[in-house]
Amino acid sequence: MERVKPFSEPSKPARSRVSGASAGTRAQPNVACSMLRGILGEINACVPCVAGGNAMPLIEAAYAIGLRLVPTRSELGAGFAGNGIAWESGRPALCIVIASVGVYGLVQALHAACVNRRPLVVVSGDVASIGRGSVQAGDGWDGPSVTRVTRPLTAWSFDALTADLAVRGLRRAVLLAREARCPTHLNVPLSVQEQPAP
Amino acid sequence: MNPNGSTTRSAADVLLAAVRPLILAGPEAAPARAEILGLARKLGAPLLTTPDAKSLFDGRHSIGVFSLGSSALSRRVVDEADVVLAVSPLGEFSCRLGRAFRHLRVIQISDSIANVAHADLPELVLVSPCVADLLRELRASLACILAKPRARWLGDAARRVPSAETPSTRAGVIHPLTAIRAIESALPDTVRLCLDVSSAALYAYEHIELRPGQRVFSSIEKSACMTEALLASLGVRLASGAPTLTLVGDWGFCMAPDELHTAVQLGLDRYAVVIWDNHGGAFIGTGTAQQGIRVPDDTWRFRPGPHFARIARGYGAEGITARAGEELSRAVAHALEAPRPVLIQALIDPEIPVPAGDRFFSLGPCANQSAGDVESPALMGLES
Repeated sequence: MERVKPFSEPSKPARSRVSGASAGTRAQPNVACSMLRGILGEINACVPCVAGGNAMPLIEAAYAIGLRLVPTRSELGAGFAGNGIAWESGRPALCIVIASVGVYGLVQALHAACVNRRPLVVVSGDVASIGRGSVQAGDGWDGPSVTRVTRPLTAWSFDALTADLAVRGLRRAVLLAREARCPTHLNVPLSVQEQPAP
Repeated sequence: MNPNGSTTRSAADVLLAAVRPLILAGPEAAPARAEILGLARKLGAPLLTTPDAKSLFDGRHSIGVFSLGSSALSRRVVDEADVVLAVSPLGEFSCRLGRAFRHLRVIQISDSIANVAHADLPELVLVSPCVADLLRELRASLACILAKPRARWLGDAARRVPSAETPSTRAGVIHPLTAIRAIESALPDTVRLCLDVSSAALYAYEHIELRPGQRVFSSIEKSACMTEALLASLGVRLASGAPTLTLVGDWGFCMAPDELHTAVQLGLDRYAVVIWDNHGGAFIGTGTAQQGIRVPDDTWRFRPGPHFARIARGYGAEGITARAGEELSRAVAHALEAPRPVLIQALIDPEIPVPAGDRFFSLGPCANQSAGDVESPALMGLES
């Protein structure tokens, strides 16, 4: 079993896990695709999600690489469906929502995962960097930070502001959730998800 | 791996010194059923389960569930025991229920160090990826010293015998015990049973008899979040591929009925939701009757209640109303084979008192232990 190492921000870029062919409908694989490819085999294939502009590259990538999307009617439904998947399979369950209202909608499910020790991994799509502080932003620029809100309920909650941090961060979030049997949360801006794969 | 240097030999010594040993089994005990039954026989120890391990041992071997709403017998056993061998994640030890075990010497056996109790550290902890191996080793250690099995310290009176009595029923509504028996009789050998926080769950913990292939999803002893099991059942059904039945209260369903549409759109077959429709009985039972809260009855009672079966049809699911035990049994059997989601509105007699879900109240207040629980991964150096 791979051990979870302390997280640091290296200056050198991580090696791409994407080889040549496009993983989605896009001509060129993006960071969202690399993030999810990095955890294939570590998570259950069912991925509860709620559609939202800031998380669409992640949802598209999940579909493209063969994960089964479970489009629930609300973030609360997605979070608790993730609880059920994690409980049944014993493996980390990935859950994709948007930041801000999306994350706040599933806080109750994060609490349940935390106290019942279920490995739920929440990835939230935040506004693009250019939209920082705008509507649905969860970066804490002029409103609450989603990662600060989820921190007490998770083993690790992190804003991945670069492509490298997003790819390595999601893998760490999954492995940590599995080892600690506790939920984790990664917040990734739309502009980072859409960058070309590193 | 034995984090505090515990060994199976030292655990055997503690068990041998015990006058009234008790075994508490959680879901981790699933691969070690035979070893646990062997240990219980050897030690003359009664066996309790956590709610989500209820299906592992039937009424011939287990005296019941220890959790919110546990029976008087279960509580008596915990009160009188002196040592507990817990094969369990021990969620019970990191919340108020853990207080019930504080007077006991606790031996915990787990398959992961992450499961070791966070609020109250047991006296001995044995951790191994293979729990059955640890139990076999423990049984061998005991066998060297104990030639004959000890007599059961509770005697045969502790055996839980399902009541054959048929409760009287008013026309048009179902007695809760009749409803539980109707559901139990219709369950296939392999099924997932998701119990939401409701008076239905309290009845189920106490009275339903399950087999090992009938796994229970329950969070009543920890988050106890209404509607959690309803929503989690989507994930349980998808991840297990097994027929899934959710037992949810009327209030719990009203919190998130829209996810029934998710089940319809996903085309989930063998997916059943039973609404325990007693017009808000759980709130009335716990709030008004047990805590003595004085507010108008209409605050919580549904007058009238929603027509849940019609709501289900509106979402594209099949909707059935059951007014008698036989109707409910037939509906559950049908739903767990149906090609699309089925919602069953079981009309439960609202005049029957709700079981005492007073485990938390009787244990009294305690410090907030969940904060330490949450922060522990960071304190363990897992966070940069």
